[in-house]
Amino acid sequence: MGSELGKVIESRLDRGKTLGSVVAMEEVHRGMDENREQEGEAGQSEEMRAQGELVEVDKGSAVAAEIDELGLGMQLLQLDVKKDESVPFRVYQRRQRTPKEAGGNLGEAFTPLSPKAKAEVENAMMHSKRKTVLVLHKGSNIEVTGAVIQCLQPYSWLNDEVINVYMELLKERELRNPEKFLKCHFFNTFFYNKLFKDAQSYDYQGVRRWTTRKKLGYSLLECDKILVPIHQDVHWCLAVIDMQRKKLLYFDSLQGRDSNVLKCLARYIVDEARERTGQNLDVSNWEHVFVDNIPRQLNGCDCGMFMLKYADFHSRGGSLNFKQADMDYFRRRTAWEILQLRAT
Amino acid sequence: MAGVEDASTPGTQQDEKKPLDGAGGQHINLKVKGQDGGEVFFRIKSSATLRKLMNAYCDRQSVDPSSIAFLFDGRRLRAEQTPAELDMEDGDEIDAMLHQTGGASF
Repeated sequence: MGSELGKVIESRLDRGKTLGSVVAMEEVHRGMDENREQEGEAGQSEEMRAQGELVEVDKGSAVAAEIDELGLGMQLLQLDVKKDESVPFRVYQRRQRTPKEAGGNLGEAFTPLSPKAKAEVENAMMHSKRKTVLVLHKGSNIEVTGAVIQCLQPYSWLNDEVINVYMELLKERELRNPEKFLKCHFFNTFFYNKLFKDAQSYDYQGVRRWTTRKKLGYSLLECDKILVPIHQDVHWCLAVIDMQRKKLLYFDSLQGRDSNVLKCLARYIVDEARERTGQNLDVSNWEHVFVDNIPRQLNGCDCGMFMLKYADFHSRGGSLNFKQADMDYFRRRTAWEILQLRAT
Repeated sequence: MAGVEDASTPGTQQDEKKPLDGAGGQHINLKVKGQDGGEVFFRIKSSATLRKLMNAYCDRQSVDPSSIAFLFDGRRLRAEQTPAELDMEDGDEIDAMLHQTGGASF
């Protein structure tokens, strides 16, 4: 399997070398996906998934494959590459780059789960665990029982508990590695209900006390991005206040649009700036965008998982480089991360 | 219900009732606000856990406690916490939010 994979990638690399252009990982992914689908066995194919990205280094000939040393798939690839001396490029160790430099810090987004991790996830999903408290996230006071985490089984709808605890884990990940992840604030799933949805009228007072510097430990207004889960009755979406690019963005895996969300968030950030700093923030020329070239949901159950991954990849500062076929892996991975109380 | 009193019907000022549980500790008035805008007022000892308040609210609203998330300034409350440790003040508001789920829109 390894050599077959190696060949696919090798041919892509050759092409990249000949053209002297940057070889995008997306290309390689696509090749591997074909490979993966033929194999049929989802569990095995996950192991095969290569990590990292391929970039041109010097303008002469060398193409560097930047790898994630944790990725088993890439380790296989690395062996193949080394064996074949006719391939004139070198393999470098991962080096630290800021998300912006890297055009996205996506190397670890597809790290396969170990057999032990898979077994623990399976165990947590057992019916007998429904009433057991599996973990308590102290920062958010969220108790994750078996019943809560079982929504991460394929085809189940995601509940707010899983989403809220995962948002906390994404924030903690960023605080552990501030140089690697964008500075984000992750609101919980109830924020937009209080701000607008429940009363169907905008109410800043309902959330005024949520974001004091004392409570957050940082200033909301200094974040690069503010991420807001939106619960559309039976559907999860994500809204983003992009403070850097001065935009309000809406991500719906089913391509729905809700202009109230972006209007309310624009108003919110103005009120928040006035409350915390006394300044008038002018958002009148901030663009409101319903982003449509994003990974789409192809079933009636994965919107929550798509939403979480939009948030995850935003925090990584990368493009939304995933798709429906990744969702089963993401569900298992999310369950594992929650059980560990640590997102990676 | 010991230690907590359902002090009113929505929107009315509650009477100064004598709290039922043990000696000592300051009492504060807390408001629980539902998603329909309805408000229920409780008077509770600062050192008492919120469990009784939560149960009393759910009883009154005829909802299963496991279906509700109680928030204070956006943060989840646990039944074991007390108003004192949360620095709650007289008149503070707790939000009672129904748990959410979703998979697709129709």
